[in-house]
Amino acid sequence: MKTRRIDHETNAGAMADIAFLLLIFFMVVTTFNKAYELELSLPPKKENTRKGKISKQRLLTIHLNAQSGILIGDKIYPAEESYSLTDEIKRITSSKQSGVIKINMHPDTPYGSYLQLMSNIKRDKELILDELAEESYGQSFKELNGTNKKTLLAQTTYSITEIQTERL
Amino acid sequence: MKMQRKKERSIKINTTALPDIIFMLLFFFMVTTVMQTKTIKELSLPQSYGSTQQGEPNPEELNIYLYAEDGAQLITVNDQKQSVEQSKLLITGIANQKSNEGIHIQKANLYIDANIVMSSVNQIKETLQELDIYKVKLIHEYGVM
Repeated sequence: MKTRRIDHETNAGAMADIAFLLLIFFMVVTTFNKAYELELSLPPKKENTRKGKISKQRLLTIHLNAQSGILIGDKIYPAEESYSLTDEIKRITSSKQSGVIKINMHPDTPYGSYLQLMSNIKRDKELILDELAEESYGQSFKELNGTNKKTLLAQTTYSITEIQTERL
Repeated sequence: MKMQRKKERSIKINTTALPDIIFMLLFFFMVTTVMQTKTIKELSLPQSYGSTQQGEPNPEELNIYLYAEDGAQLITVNDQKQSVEQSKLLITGIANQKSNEGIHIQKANLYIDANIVMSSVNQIKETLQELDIYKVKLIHEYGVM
């Protein structure tokens, strides 16, 4: 007796739909891990003992304590409180000479609060540069050409001195 | 004279290769997707304002991880773990090893836990200065206060 051959065929019509669905899902949910950076230029070791008087006009003293509290000039900011350094940076860079930011830190100061301070300094400098660019050239700092950028950068230069205090 | 009617042609696009292409893209995304990479389990980077990390890692850069594990402060450089007190020996040893291979280290990327104390960070900075490594990048996550 002859048996009928049954043709087994799987319908693969929906395969592309499923693959598309998975593809779109992965494309949407994929997030590439982004790291952020703050670049510092350390001075050569021999320059660490630079001596000389700095006028009060050019100096901004900041204290960081072990509880992440911060003292800027004569104002105290507890940890987690936001603060702006724009006015202080404008003050120390208003003379023709570059300003000096002196950071006194306790040995037990958490690194998180130090990094916060450093990035706030950078952020506020960028705000000042934008403000100056708008006043002088009617453009944002990013839109300026190289010469104008240099002129404004020369008006807002400062160096940062870090001092680690002794434990009592 | 009678005009001949144009025959209607049905245009069929062959889509046989479509699933292959889709699958190829799917596999690509599945293989390249990195959900999260944390070299060190205990490390929680501080959040701050900053610019995105530039460029690819290169052998002329030192990657230094500073973190706390079971109450002890540890440092990891090029997969070598030590206590923070031994950081100078470790960094100097690796820098010398690289120097013998003809690689002069010029930059250091610091991945530091937010709760590490500044005395340990300053110790690392001093070691880098002694080794003439002046360009330092503080790597962190984004967050605005």
